[in-house]
Amino acid sequence: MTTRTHLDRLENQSVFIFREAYHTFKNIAMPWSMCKDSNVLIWLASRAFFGRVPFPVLHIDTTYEFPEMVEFREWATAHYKLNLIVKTNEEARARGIGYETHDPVTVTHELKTVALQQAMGQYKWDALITGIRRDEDPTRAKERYFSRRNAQFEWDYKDQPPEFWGQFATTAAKGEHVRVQPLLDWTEVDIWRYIQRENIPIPKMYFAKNGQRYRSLGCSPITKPITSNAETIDAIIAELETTRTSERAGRAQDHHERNAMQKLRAKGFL
Amino acid sequence: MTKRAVGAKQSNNPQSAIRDPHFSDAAHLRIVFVGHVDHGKSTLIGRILSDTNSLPEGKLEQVQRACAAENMEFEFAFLLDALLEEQEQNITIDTTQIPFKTAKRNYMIIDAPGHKEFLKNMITGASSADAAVLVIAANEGVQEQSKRHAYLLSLLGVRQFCVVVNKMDLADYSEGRFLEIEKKYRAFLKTLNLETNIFIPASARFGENITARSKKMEWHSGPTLAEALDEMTSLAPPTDLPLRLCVQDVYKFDDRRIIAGRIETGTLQVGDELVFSPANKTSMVQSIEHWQPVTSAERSPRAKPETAIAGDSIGITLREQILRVSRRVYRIFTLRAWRLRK
Ligand SMILES: Nc1nc2c(ncn2[C@@H]2O[C@H](COP(=O)(O)OP(=O)(O)O)[C@@H](O)[C@H]2O)c(=O)[nH]1
Ligand SMILES: [Mg+2]
Repeated sequence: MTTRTHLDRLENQSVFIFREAYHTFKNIAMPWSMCKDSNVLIWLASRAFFGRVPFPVLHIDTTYEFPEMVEFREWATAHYKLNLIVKTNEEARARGIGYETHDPVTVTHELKTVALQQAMGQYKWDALITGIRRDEDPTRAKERYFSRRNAQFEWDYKDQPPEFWGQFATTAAKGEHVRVQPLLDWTEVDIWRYIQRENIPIPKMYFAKNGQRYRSLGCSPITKPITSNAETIDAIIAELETTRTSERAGRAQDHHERNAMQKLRAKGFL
Repeated sequence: MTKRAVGAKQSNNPQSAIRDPHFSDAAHLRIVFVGHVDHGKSTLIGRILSDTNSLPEGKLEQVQRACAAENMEFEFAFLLDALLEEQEQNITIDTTQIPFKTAKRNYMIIDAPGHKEFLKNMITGASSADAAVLVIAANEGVQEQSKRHAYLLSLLGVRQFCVVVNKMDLADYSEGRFLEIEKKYRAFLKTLNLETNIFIPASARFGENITARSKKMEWHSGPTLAEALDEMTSLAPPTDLPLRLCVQDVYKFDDRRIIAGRIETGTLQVGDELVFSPANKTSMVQSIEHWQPVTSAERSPRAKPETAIAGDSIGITLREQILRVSRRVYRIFTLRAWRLRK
């Protein structure tokens, strides 16, 4: 009898979650930052729905995007035939909110979370498919596959519903939405092994150039590259096998103060 | 600690670590820690992560510094109990899952809250586990949740477990106290039809019998916690049972009519004759559908599958359409299995 690998098990579980979400919610969107995880999401959606992504993908454009990422966005949109929606918090930019003048937590909140709220208000999605993983952050480690957010986008992490045996809490009142998180069980190395196995296209910035590469990709002013000579996926996996530095170490907004991530996430950050 | 040495060697030569399928890609053991509140579950996990070098660099120091700054005593549990509310009250509110590995294999460790108010979170954590560690504090002995959690494990079908008698430092590392708890708990487990041969005396706070063998309890001849974990096995998918597949959805994106769902038990092959319940109609599997991406076609082509097994999320087409198949109410069986049932 054919056996299944760890990656097969993860893929099957994610596909199951995608299909539950697509059946349950009429009006779904999938935030897409073009980072490696969100490209894996697009791939898994294509597996779940046999070569199509049957809902819009949303790029929250902070206007601080790396040009390479925007280039990748245009290429991938055509390649996968995506229904792409781009959203910027123009109002905050007009007020002068930006990394030049404000701290990273404020800017992340305004240009990402508030922009997402604006898009939600406009399109009235009842579910968002996110690419967060439990291994990224201790508060994400406590997430459910289906997780409700109230109208203010708040996460009631102190009272989450039980979730087991493929049964999910799928109800959301008017104005609320459900976060559907198919990658919760994946680790950073799983993501890379899967990208390698499936040959999933990702932005070139993950690979080393002149002794540096990006391990995690966010806004350009607050995302720092790491020293690395990893030019191939094999080399990246080898590097991760030996490193003990956490993935989001290069993301300034997480480390601004103690429990900064919990505060950001309680207010609606992915 | 010969095992750790092997692990270190593998990571110095990462190429071989990647290619070794048993190390990198075999099923990960999902293990849940349960037991009465305050008996040391989160501390045990924090200790294991720290003693096996599984924490991100600087994480331990960061939490220690944060505690010092706020005049709180450092707890290994804070590595998991990350919510401010959890740290203030020194209690686990919700279940956490953390990947971790020994030289032998990969794990997903699941920390479950012990307080009875958070039982739903304990069940959420335990339901997906291959195995469990039941934690009992040596000073307090068997308590209400020690029993209730064992009962819930038996209900959830988690039958593989070991028992850690923790906080042995508070019982003078006494063999007598350990045997007393073991005897009492064994008798209780028997009433649930549960059994284990592995009882481990340990101290999470002082790292006794966690990854290193304790010098203070040389009377213990059984394994350390890390050794006990490595002996456990992950559950194989239930392929030897009759086919059961719940219809998740029916897709008509193009001219194919695809019935999508996950195989709960058994196996399915192209050509199998299926029974659709509750209509009791039959049809044959025409194909197991599959997406062949453009980019990976020449590099890693996945052949169109002919068979699928329990755990697979699949989509099939039928030789003769069965009308009005819909989600949920519809279950699929193989004809053979169905005949056996009648
Ligand atoms: N003396 C002693 N205290 C321990 C030991 N393990 C845990 N504790 C303490 O017991 C308390 C509860 O631990 P915690 O891990 O939060 O318990 P949980 O509710 O089972 O997760 C904490 O103050 C720990 O420091 C141990 O082996 N010895
Ligand atoms: Mg705890």
